[in-house]
Amino acid sequence: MASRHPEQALALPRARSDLLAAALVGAMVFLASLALAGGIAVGQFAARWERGAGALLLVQVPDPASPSPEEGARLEAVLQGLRGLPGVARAAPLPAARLAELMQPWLGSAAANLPLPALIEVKLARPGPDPAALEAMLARTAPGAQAEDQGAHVAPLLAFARGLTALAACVALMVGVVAAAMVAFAVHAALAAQRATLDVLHTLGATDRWVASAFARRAGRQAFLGSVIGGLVSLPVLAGLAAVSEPVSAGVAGLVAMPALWLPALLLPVPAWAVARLSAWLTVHRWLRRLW
Amino acid sequence: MLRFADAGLAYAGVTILSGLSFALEPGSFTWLVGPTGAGKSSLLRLMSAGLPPTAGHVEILDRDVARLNRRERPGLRRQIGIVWQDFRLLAHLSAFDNVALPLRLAGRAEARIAEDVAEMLDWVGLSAKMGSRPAALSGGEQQRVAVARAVVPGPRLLLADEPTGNLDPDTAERIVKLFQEMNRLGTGVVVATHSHSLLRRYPAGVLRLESGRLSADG
Repeated sequence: MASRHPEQALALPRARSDLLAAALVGAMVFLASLALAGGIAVGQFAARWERGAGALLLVQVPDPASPSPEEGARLEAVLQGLRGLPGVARAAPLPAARLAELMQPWLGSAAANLPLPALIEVKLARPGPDPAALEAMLARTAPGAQAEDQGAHVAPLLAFARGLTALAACVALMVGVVAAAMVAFAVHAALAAQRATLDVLHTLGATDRWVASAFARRAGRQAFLGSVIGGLVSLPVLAGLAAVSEPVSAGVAGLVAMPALWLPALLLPVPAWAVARLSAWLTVHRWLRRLW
Repeated sequence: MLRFADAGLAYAGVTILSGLSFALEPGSFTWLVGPTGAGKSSLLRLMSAGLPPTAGHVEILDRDVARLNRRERPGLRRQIGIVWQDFRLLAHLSAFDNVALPLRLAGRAEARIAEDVAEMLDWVGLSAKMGSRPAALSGGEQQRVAVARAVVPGPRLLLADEPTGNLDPDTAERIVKLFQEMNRLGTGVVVATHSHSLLRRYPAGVLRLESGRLSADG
């Protein structure tokens, strides 16, 4: 019989606007989960590309067996020079058989007999080698040798991926703003419906804080429940998207194993709860200003 | 307790009360009388710090109403008990919770609230209906709940707008005696009424309103 909490004392009736707000917040969290998960997945792929092709250098050494102006064969001299450069993690020549195999689609069986340049695959550390020092070393040890930075090919892709990640964050932020606006709208409707009750409470000495607390708790709880449902619904959708993206994602297992991908869906109810509470709190305080 | 100096109230350009100057001493009992539409309810609203005067000065419990900031007003209002003519019970709360409301607003402990509210409802003869919502109560029962809600926090000032209008003579008598008892214990009481018999049986100070102004014999 006795109700202990302001909200219970207010005993706000179950308004349709409340349920609608909870459902809409749930839908917003669903969308935000997908956007953030997409952004995080793209970010993870970008990091993987950056660590892979982005950190790779290919050095082409024509006439690898010819003597180097410095010492030994040109290939060996370049390898020694590379291994001595700061910023180089690993340098290894591509086996001639492998090179011929790679050339075969274009050159056919003649690939094995052509004087192909040697290729050295260089794994870069961070930071990588100084380009000027690298060029100087190549000119010194094997004139005509060329270095090709694979990162240059990956850079536009990385920029695009970073753009997508930022876009996902913006979408999530916008969804948060829309959710806050919807909560404010629902609270406003509830306040208007409760005008007579609020007049009585006001006259009996209820503080703005007391009333706002009642509405904020209710709005927070509804947003939390709605967003938990929205987040849970997004999980199977994310799994489906992971399956669809398998060809470019190195396997569903890789995506599913990314905790960061699932975290937005599981964690968003907390900010949704906080945003709803704050929105309701501010809306009630602003509305109560009309009562003296 | 209440000090009005040339106070007035206008709403949407219409003057409802004007030129009200009077002082009610702490612990006084006052009848507020006047014909329907004279402004009694509006005056009670001013007395309850429900509105600021639009002219003159109003002091309630030694506080200048116009100078109270938003955070100070609820504290003043909690020292005032009020019984509205239309009861204004919260329809979705039980009789118990309606009566408990001012105590909860004051932050009283639940154990104490349960005790005080039960005692109050027992006193107004509604122990058996403490779980009932207003819609399940008769007009008289609702009025008794409204009286209990106004009285239970032990206010320094008690305002009542036709508090006996829906009550049978015996219950009305009990309510007026309750007000008098509270008055004896130091609560200032202002009761708006149309009942001449109450004025005759319980002589006290009178404020007489006519067309928003105190009349000469008020």
